[in-house]
Amino acid sequence: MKTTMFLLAFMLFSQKVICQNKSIKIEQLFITNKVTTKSVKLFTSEETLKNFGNLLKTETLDQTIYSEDYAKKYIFDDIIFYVSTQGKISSFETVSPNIIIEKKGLFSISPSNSFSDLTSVFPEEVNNAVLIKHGINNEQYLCVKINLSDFSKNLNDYVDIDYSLNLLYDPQSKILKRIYIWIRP
Amino acid sequence: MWRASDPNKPCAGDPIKNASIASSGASGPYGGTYGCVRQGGTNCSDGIYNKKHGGIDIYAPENSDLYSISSGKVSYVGYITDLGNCIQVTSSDNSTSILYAHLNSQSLAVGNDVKIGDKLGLTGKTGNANDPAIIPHVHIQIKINGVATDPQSFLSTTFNSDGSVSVPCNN
Repeated sequence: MKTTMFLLAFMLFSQKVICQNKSIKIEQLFITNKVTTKSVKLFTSEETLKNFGNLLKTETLDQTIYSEDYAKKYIFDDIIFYVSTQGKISSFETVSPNIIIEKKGLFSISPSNSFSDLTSVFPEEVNNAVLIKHGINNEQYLCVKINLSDFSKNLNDYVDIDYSLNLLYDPQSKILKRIYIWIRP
Repeated sequence: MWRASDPNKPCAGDPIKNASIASSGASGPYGGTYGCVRQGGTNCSDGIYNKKHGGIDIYAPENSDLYSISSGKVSYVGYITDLGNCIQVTSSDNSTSILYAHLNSQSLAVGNDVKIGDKLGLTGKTGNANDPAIIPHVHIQIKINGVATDPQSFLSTTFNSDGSVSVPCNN
């Protein structure tokens, strides 16, 4: 009886460890431009976007409609960043193979990478990939979602946040087409 | 024409029948209410809830009928990256704008007159509500003279601070 209970407990514990989704600390996530080799991080000052790449234009967003997370839009030829009313980088979206999203020592990924590149690092997340529709034309993608966490001074620990790193693959070719993190309104 | 007794419609002042707050990720139903209620952001310094949610998220299965909670004119119809398909109704004195987001479709055009209870469109998961983990909802944000305001006082159903329903409206 004791052996059976021990085995059951061990199996449940093992499954929990094996099946747990990874959570990436937001300050460990780098967005790098291969061309300029410049890197930025979310929730840091918009000043860090200087010389990130070829800046096509900046747009001030209509605050009667947009939320406070989207006060300004920086449109580079390889990526779009959204900056909050507080001047912090809050979101980005890219389709360019020139942009690398990485946690050093764990993973490094760019549009044009294959689905299989991700399976060894994020097996559970890949297993949970689902079809979604994205953008004004409702294009269909296979979405892999990577959880993000941030430090809470109150809890003195990292907590999962409500927003994730989204990797959108072509459902047929399984090639990575688009990457984004959007802080929802 | 609005009929309070229509069993297919919500209470006058509610956008969706049997209105409830949609949970938001790690923050749960609290994250669907208005204010500094979400984990992960830059615009609040309130403990772990450091992201301001500029509206309220009312649970709405995709393609639910969406009804106006105010009267006025349609002032905006379009698609915005984060909000998806949205429609905005502005009061006749131009003081109050109410925006409904993440819709699948809008039923009215800019300039159309709107009364409380008029159908505005069908709810959806467009914009950045397309994430598979996000519970389908309509995001409602209200600005009075340009200042963001908690939409709760505009709704007939009332909610507790944790996002649970306080007093349902089922007439």
